[in-house]
Amino acid sequence: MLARSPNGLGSSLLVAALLVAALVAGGVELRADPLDLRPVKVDAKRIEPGSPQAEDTAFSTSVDATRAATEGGGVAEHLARSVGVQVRRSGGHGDFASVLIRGSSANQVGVFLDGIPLALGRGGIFDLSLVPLLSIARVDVFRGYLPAELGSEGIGGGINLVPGAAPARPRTRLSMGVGSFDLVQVGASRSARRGPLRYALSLGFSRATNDFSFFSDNDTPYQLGDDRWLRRKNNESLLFSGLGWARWRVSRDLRITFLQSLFYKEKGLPGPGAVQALSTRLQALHEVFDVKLEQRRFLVPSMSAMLRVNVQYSRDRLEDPQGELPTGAKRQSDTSVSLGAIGRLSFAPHDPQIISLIPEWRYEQYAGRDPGRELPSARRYRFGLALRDRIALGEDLATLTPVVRADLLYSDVSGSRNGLEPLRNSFDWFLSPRLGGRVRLWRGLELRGNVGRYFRPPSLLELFGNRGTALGNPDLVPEVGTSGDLGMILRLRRRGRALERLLIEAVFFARDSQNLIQWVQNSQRTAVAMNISRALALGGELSGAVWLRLHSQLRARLSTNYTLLHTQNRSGKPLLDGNRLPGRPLHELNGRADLVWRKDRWGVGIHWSVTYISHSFLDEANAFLPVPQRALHEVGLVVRPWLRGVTLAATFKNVANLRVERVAAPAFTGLRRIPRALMDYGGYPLPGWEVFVNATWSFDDPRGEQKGSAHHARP
Amino acid sequence: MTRGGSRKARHTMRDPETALADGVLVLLLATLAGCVGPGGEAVDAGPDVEVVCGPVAQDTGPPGRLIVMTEQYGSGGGVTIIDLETLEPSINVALTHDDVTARWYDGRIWILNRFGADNIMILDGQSYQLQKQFSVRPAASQVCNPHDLLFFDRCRAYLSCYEQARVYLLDPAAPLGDEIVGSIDLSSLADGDGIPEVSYMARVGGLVYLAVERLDRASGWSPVEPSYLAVVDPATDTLVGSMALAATNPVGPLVRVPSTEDLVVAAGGDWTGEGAGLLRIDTGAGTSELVLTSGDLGGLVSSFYLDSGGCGHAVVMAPQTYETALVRFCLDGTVAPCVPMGAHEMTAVALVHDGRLVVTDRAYLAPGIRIYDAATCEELTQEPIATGFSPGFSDPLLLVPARR
Repeated sequence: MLARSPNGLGSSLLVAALLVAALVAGGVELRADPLDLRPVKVDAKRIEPGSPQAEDTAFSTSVDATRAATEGGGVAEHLARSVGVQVRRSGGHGDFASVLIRGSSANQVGVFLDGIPLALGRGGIFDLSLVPLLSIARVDVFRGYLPAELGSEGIGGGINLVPGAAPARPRTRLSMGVGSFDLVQVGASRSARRGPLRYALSLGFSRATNDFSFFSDNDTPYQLGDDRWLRRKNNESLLFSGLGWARWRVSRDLRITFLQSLFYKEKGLPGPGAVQALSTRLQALHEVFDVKLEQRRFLVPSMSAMLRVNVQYSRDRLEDPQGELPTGAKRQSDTSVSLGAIGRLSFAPHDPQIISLIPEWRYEQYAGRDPGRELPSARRYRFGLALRDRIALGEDLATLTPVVRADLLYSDVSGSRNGLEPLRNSFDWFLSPRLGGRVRLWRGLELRGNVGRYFRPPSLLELFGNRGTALGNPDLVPEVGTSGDLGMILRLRRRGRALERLLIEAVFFARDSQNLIQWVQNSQRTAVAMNISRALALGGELSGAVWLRLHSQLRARLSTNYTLLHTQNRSGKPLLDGNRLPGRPLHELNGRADLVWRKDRWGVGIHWSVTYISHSFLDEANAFLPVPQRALHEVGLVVRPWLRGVTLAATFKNVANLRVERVAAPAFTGLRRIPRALMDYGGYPLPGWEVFVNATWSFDDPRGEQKGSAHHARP
Repeated sequence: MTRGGSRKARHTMRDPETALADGVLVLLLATLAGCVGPGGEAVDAGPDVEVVCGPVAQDTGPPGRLIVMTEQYGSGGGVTIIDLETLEPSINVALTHDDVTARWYDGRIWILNRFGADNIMILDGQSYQLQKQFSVRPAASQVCNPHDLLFFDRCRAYLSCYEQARVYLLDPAAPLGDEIVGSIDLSSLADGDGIPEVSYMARVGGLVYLAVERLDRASGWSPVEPSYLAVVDPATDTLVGSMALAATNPVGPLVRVPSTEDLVVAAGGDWTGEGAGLLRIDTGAGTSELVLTSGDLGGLVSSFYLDSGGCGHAVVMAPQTYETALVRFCLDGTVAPCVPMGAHEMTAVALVHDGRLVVTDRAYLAPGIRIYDAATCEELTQEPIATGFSPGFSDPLLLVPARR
């Protein structure tokens, strides 16, 4: 979605900057104006030696979080409309959602905050609902490929949550929204520059009761006589977030960046099925502190260095005072602490070539507490080292970026399993080579391809269990995935008077995942993690967008993406082998149309979007929970009245109020079709139509542009 | 008395919010495609089945089919039928919940869909077609987790709900929603968490005996001493007594010792092997004795049967490694190996009338049923008879008459 930069460096630089801009925070100014349909641009003079712009071959998508926040919903909900991304939600604002990329599993997708890995070792999955859209500026999705700085633990790819940048003028932004099911959402942000110092701070709060009505079959799917409508209970959510960063330019070549984030969530857990748990609750806290030093002209003019150190703390507390969950745990608390460091030493022997050495070290510790039993505590040490060489040919006509990364992991646990025998330790090492290439075929048309090998180490829970129903298996080996893609990107600009821009992207991809870890029930009461499975994913992604200038004051944007995703269980297990993986539809189509009228300060915009999926199953066996097809529509309205800096938006989701799906019934029932609640997980209904109304006030200090700014966004 | 087993219903329930929302949105957004919401005609499962209340004659012929309840955790389960003569399996003749067991009564298969489903499905014993599915939740906000079903006649049965402190009186032929017609209070036998964990039932000498496990859910489901055998008089549907058991955590079916009024049950103890084994209960004297410990047997008992000689086979599981073995035992204390520990992932065993043993095998890539000679422990199958999904852990086997 980018036009060529004026200085002729080519779209590759712009793409690279977008893709990995989080690692050079402050390089992008976003278009937070919902009425501005133009794509985001970055003006970059040259490839900074050692900057992550060195990897510009990945297929990725960026979601403007600031704009998305005006439409309501969370990170996962907006990612669901991105090409190649599948999302499974459990229902309601602040709900847990798993994000899959190109048919991967959720724990095969790396999640990062400004390049800092968030999915710590205990469970391996980060709850994206912890991070509200209000607290970040952009979400980058790397499909099937990870830049070397983001490690190798992303068989499916990665999601990078990018904090806001400091604009040219100090800016204050206030946002307030209300919505269905008692949703209240407020946010405030402030970003400014003062001499060599830049900073940004955002605070956000939201709550909702999520007491939507849903269709219940009373857990008797073949008995229609007891079906009824219920209301979701104990589904309240409360989210608080704070994210701030400050960058100090010590000298022309040295800058230091501090980042602090705090995400807190309280959520009721009604559980699956018709009988809802009324007192179970989850509290989640995640805190990150990071310091980054970046030095250009390190030792020699053609060398640069970066070092960042971060500390993370996370705590999940599950309360079940009435014992409504099958685990029997009344109150369980899981705490994780992580200390990490990553460096980058880059050498640019001549301008288009950059050689980077990227070491990483991380320590994680997990401890669980349950008043009723002793839980194990576990630790993990990891060390990684990557070598990357970006080779450019011609005047950026083509680039080739080979990367090789090695990772060593050592995990151990204190205590014993079920008090019966001491647990062993676990040592893994992994080599992940990657190769990306890009060729500019002619003006506006680019061919890209990537191939790489990634891994997912067993989580600490999978290795050592929880002394309850989950038994650990210290002999687990990492999951391994080999993935590749090949595609083309076409960008055209100002073809004719009406057509302003055109973007088309077509990609073919494939991935073979082996040694997949699954929980296998080995007794009535317990399950053990085993390397037992294998999966294949291949398909294609086709996306396009066109910007139209219908009139001097009237613009339109039409965008669509289609993902063809064929997944296959290759475990060899009867009735599972050959099946489609659950939650990965064969067909997914997203479309959106925006129409904006602007005159002076006034502006009105409307949008319509639709998400269509088909040929999906929610269960591994592909027998119990089919999802034949589903279409969800959304419409929105944005108004900018005469009040300076004020924007009003209203978004209506699932306008057709789809809450019941009719699915084929098994032959033995004698029924043809049976009704079932709309859901992504069995037993977790999704809400029907919702409305979200948002008011945003944004103003820049009238003190003019501050000195020291290195990056600007220009129309 | 005749009652219909099912009825046709027009599915016209509308949520008031839906009606208003649909009207407004359709008016404003009439050009949009999409579903309007639930509606249309639907038919309840199964034909109308006429049921005449009264006792059912016992099946006297030899079993001809083996019903295997299978489970695919997180997805669901299935009913697989194996013809005992041809050994041909009919895989997934019906689909169930993933925590499931079955009973045979009145020529029909009664599927107990347990934790998370709380319903019973009745299948025709010949065609395997669904005749009725009904919820067994005592109330809309209460769970049951049906563990056992004990029939008196076609219109009267006891249902044990693992999550409740009551045993429920059931009339399966009643109109939908009216199947639970009463309950028997067992809360006096509960442990500190208020739930006694009532599981399997057996009729002996005109009384009904119910296993009461008493597990503390707040501390890892540890047993609370003592466990009980509750005694209910079906003539009055009241709790008339209880017997404190010599071992804790009576899991699995209550098996009658042939030609006696004694019952035998597997005691799980604290799941570590301590205080576990086979518990023999003298219902007349009200006493019990651990006749074989888990140490004698080689592990925790998952499943067993008794023949007319007071002997049988048991599947045992080593609590440390979760490996399983099949042993031959007699109630006089003798134990002999049959299938060595770790050879297969066994969960249940049953004896066919002709001296064959059927044993479940949950091997990940080849789950199924293995058949052994009960006298020699020689395996008669070269590979497991496929069951589709893996055989379940809890009471997954049922021997029933041959198909007519």
